[in-house]
Amino acid sequence: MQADVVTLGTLGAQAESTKSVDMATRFHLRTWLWLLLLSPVVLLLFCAVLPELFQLHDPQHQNLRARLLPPWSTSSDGFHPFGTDSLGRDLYSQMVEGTRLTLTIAVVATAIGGTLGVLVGLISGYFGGWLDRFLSRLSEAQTAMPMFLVAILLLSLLGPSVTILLIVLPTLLWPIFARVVRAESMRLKESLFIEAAIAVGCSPMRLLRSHMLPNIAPRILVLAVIEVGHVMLAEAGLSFLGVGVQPPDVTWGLLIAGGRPLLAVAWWLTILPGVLLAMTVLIFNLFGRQFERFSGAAG
Amino acid sequence: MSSPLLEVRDLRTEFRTRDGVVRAVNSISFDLGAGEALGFVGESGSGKSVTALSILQLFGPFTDAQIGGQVLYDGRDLLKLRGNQMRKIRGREIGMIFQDPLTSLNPLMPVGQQVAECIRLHESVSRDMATRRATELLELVGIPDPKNRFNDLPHSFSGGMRQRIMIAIAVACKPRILIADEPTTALDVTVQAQILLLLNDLQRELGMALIMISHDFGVVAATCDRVNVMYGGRIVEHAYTEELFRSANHPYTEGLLKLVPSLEQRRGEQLVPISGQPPDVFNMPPGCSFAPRCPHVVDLCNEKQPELTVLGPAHGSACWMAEQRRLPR
Repeated sequence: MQADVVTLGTLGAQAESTKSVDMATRFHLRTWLWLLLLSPVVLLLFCAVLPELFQLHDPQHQNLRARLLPPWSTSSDGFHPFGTDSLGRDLYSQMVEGTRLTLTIAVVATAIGGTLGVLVGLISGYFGGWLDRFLSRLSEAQTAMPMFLVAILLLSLLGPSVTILLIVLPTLLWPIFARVVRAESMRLKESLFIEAAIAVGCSPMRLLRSHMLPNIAPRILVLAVIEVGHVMLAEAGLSFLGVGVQPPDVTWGLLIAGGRPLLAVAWWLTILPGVLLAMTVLIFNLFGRQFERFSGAAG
Repeated sequence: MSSPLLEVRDLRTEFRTRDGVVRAVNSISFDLGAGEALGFVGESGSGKSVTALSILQLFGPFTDAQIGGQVLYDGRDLLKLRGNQMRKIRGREIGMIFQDPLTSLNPLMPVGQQVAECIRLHESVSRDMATRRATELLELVGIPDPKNRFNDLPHSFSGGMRQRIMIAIAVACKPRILIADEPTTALDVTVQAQILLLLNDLQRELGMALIMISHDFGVVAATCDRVNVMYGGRIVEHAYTEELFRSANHPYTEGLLKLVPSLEQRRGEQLVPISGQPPDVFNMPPGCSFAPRCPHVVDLCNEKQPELTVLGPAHGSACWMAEQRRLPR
């Protein structure tokens, strides 16, 4: 009898210790992964807010004697880690400068499109019926159209500008948010706590705002982070085609476009901003996925 | 009993579905006096929950539920009220508790705030005042250390505690009627007893009327003055609780009572199940809906729907054989 108790006790202790070791390593891995993903995002944010802190040169300063210098070279102005363009401007400093507008457009467009999509999704998921059918058909119709081409058409008709871009990009985005939020709110509205909230006299608006929305918010946030990456790509595409941001404003997409005719002579003008764009989109994607896993585990 | 607080007359609730019309509640009438406890008993699908939901019209927008008849609360027909007016009834005049306390609280809102929300929805009080009253309510329903637990999320409470919180929300505005839809079904027996006791205490303290819905005769016997037995969307028998236990008239009630296990039962002695299945909701029998399962069925049962036969001051039974089955006193 006594022996049994002892054995059980030690077994329990062993199980406990292996479990805690497991938890510790997992915690470390997770923390490192977070830092790994978070640091580039923070760095980019700093670049966007305080570009002067990182720039080696004035990004608009021209020096015709230092044209098309390859990466890692030095001119009379100083060191050019990423080389210079056809007017002798420092590519690295231009890339830092472009961060601000690239990120701003991506974040603002996602915020506008996301808000719109969330509203539509909540309403059509919660109320259902003809309203839902109408809104769903609308978003399906829009998804069926080649929206990138429509965006090009609109931008070339209305004239390219950042404002128009901030109207066109959200219209590309909202159906994605609407679809996810609609599915979530359809699931949620069947849950007992929503019925209980109605039973204490909540109005539909209050129900959506303080009971449904907070319970969908983590999903929306994950989606938004991932979509910021996609919007960056779309903006780069439109700017590359000449219907997006116009010089002298700088975005990464514009830099890629500017380097294209010189691809055979000066590869760095296209490749380096391209790599930066690709890396950033990737980071945002991974960040979103990691956040999804984290919030899924916590909730 | 003067004019009752709640008079339900000829209540009919139908759902239009793709496969046809489901008559979940089929012309039921009952009264509820102020401060009275009324029980509804029946098996799953007998329409007892739908009755409760119909009183408060808790069917979501665009649900194809058709509610007919009259639900007179204090002389006003609730079925004639629209959105805004009905919201003032819900929570303030009539509170409701649901079956599953694990899912009936918002998982992301601190419990105290959920209690305070109900107060602030119906009364113009300051945030501080609502918080103070919510804390008192949590204490009233037996949450230990309510001040410190005010900001905890539902997941850190046990099922019984969550049901207590639900009760606190339901009685927050001192409603005159409390509807409890199987409040103890998801809880284990010891907790069940505590919750029932709490409900009865609150009922007496606040002078509320109670509608207790349950499939468990024991629960209803412990809490209610009168009982309505439902089957197939109708009330098949109603009586004072004691009278029902002493002289159940309807064969269905009789069958249900035989299913209550008792401690006196000898080992090996079997419970007698009611044979057969509940009626098909899309295809109700033309006569008595219990006829296909009834051990005492006669020809008439399959042809015509029986009306309630009055057997006493508050005792009625919807059975063609009610007079004959009456027990000699």
